[in-house]
Amino acid sequence: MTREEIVDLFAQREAAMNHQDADGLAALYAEDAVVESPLGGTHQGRAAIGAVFKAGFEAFNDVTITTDDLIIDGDHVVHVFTMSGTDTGGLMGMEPSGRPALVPMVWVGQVTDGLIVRERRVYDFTGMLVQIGVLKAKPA
Amino acid sequence: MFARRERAHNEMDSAALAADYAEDVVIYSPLAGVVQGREAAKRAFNIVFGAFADMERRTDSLFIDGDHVAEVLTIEGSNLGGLMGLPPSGKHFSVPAVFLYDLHGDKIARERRIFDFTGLLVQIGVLKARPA
Repeated sequence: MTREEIVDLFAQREAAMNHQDADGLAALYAEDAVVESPLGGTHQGRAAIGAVFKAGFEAFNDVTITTDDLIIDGDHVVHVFTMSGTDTGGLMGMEPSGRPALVPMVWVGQVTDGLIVRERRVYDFTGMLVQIGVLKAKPA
Repeated sequence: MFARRERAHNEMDSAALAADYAEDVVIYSPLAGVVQGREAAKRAFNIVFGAFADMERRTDSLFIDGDHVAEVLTIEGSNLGGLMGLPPSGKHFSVPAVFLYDLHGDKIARERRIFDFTGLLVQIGVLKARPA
């Protein structure tokens, strides 16, 4: 893929994220793509990836992302963005807290033939759970 | 440069690590906050190495896009020296991380570190977390 094609793919992803479009997002991944995520664990396949996005949007129905940086090295792409959203639907079987979260994230991906084939997501997942009230944290 | 930095980090050589920074570097770190300037960066490394005397990092991948670099790594260590005014817990942590760098010439002008910092604090016992 050319740099322009990769930039366009990730602009599509940002737009789909900001429209909470799980099907649109899943369509950007290869049929056998593998994603490693603190929230979804390791999940494989477009359907599973779409299901994790759908669960995320059910929990955070106002989620938006803002891209801070896109680092492209060959077919590897490092997408740096800030996610904001409110726990309006409940996460991990919990009641919704109504609390907002603001989390810097890095999703490290690999692309082939116009699709994302691998992705590893790194962010302060525990901090996000504390922000929305799924976890309570206090000094030891 | 980044292979050299990994060796310097694993030898806890804060002077060598700081030497790669521009004089007015800005570092955004969950642990140290916003650190500005080479000397402040060196002090911040010394605090971290004092807290985690067996700290190691392994670079999993390095992605380079012009002057922008993303380093995907795993950081491990044990809280042998105490942190944030608390006594050492002796507990071990391991977290995946991504460090993002902006280079200017042969120096690092900006660095941003992203990882599960809250999870790290829970692992080493500085924070206790429980389901709400």
